[in-house]
Order: sequence, then C-alpha cells, then structure tokens
Amino acid sequence: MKNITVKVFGGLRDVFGVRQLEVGLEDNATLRDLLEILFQKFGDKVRVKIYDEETQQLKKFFNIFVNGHDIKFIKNLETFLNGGDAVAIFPPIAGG
Amino acid sequence: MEALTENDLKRYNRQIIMPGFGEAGQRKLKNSKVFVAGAGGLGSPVSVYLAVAGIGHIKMVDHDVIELSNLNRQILHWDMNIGKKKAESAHEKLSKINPDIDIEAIYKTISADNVDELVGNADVIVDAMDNFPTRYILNDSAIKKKIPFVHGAIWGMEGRATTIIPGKTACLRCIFPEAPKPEVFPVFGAAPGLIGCLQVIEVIKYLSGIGNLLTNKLLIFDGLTSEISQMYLQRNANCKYCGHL
Repeated sequence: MKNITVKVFGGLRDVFGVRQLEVGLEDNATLRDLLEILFQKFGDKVRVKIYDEETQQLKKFFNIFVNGHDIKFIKNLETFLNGGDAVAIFPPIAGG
Repeated sequence: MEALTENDLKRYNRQIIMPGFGEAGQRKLKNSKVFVAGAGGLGSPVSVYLAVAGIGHIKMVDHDVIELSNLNRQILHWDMNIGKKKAESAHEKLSKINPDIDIEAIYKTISADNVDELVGNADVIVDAMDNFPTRYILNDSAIKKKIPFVHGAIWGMEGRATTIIPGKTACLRCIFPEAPKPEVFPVFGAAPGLIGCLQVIEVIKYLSGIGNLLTNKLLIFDGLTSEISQMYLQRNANCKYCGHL
C-alpha cells in the first residue's frame, strides 16, 4: 500500500466536501485508479464533474498536477503514483 | 527614449532607490505601453498600480457599465459611478491618480476582429478578463505579435497567475486547451486585488529587466488555506496556436 495526498481547488471543493484528503492505494496504482477510488468515495457527482461523459477521459479544461507537474506531460491518467505523492486537481477558474 | 523629469525623480523616488532598478528602470517604465484588457476586478488594481508605478502609456479596454454588484471588488468604480461606462470611470480616476502619464480607456468589446488593432504596439498585455473566450483571443494576438501576456484569474478567495512569453513558455491554450462554461463566480475583492498586484509586479520586472518572471509556472494562491504554490508548466509542442514558434 502507498499513501497519496489529494488536494482539490475552486468549485470542486463543494463537490468533494473537503479540501484535502489522504488516500491509500495498491502498490501498482496509477492516477486513474486514484480517481476511481475518489468516485467510489464521493459518488458519481465527482465523476460527472471531471470526466467527459462520452470518452470517460478527463475533461480538457481540468488540470491535474502530480508533485507540481502537469499530467499532460507525464502519462495523463496512466501516470504512476508513488507513495507520498501530492495530487492537485484544479477546475478552471475564469473570474477577473 | 523620453528622459525622466525632476518631477518624475521625486514621484518615483522610492522605487528608483530599489537596487538594480534605478533611474534606468524608471525610464523604461516611462517609455512603455501596457495594454490592460478589462476594467473590472483585476483591471482595477492592475491599472491603479501600473499608473502609480509610472508606466508611460496605459491602454484599457472594457465594454461594461458599472453595476452595484461590481463594487465589492472593482475599486476603480464607486457608488456615484453606477450606470457609467467602466472605461470612462477608469480614465477619470487613473488620470487623477497619476496625471503625469498617458491613459487611454476605450469602451469596446474585444473580439477576434479588433484585437490586433486594439493591442497595437503594446509592450505587454495584461489579462484582466472574466472569461476564457476573450482570454484566448488575447492569447492568440499576443502570440501573433510576440508580446508577453500576463495571465490572472480568480475564484472566491483563490487566484492564479502566470507570465506567457510567446515562443518561450506555455501559452494559455497549452495550459487550458478548452474553455469551461461561463459562470457567475464568487469573489472577494481582495483576491483580484492580490492577483492583480502580482500581475503588475510581473509587468514591472519584464519591462525593467529585474528579477525572475513567473514563466512556465502557474502560481496558485489559496486564500482559504493561506497557501501559495507553484505548478510547473510546459509548452505543448503540438499546440495549434504557439507550436510553430
């Protein structure tokens, strides 16, 4: 098992009901596995919010960073997570 | 390059004495043109601090009229201005805040058709918009003209900022390839106040050449936890908009 810290931002906090949580994952787990656990824990409202309904991929305007690095430039949802990693999930914010 | 006057040396003394900035830095600000897109929550602190810093030419564009619900954050506009064009209100206040600089405030909607003309030969573009479609239009013009573009955005007590240097850093479309749906966003005025000030610091650093820019990094300010973090950004080599640079 490995422990991952998840931080959520913006309007996503309302959907999760928390700003930060620790999640225990199997040793071979990827970011996609982490998200599936979050969907189970917080319900389908989280899946609907961040996954595209048709493709079941991350909506293009969501940003996820692992230890500060954009997953688009790692392996997207297949990014391997190590124990102690910090995953930050950002919805877009447009206000000004 | 226009020289500093005796008045300039007095007005800007407290920044001229900043090590590494000096009279040379102030002269650069005096001879610079900054385009500010929006005169709202971000545009207010951005334009005020650009003005007091002595940016020689500030051009603002905004298409809105002041409403009561703007006044919790848009500090350029006051109760007595409700119903007035934000561009006019901004011009009036900024001219009084610093009568020594040139301020142009235009009441217009920024569109793909007019953006290049509006931006003109600005040295920097500041993103003080409240929506992604217009941000993309500004981003594309910045790339076409190779003008730095200082992005800022807020939500509630959160804020984000990054400085985009076309051809050298991730552009806005590399970072956010698709726009979210428009929304009425929550906001406390201090959040755009803080992010707008960060944007001005970026402009001053870029124009004067001091310090390090917030490039290829997205600064995240989380007011609810008082945490500031930076996420690393990368150019998308296949970006349809900046990939060719």
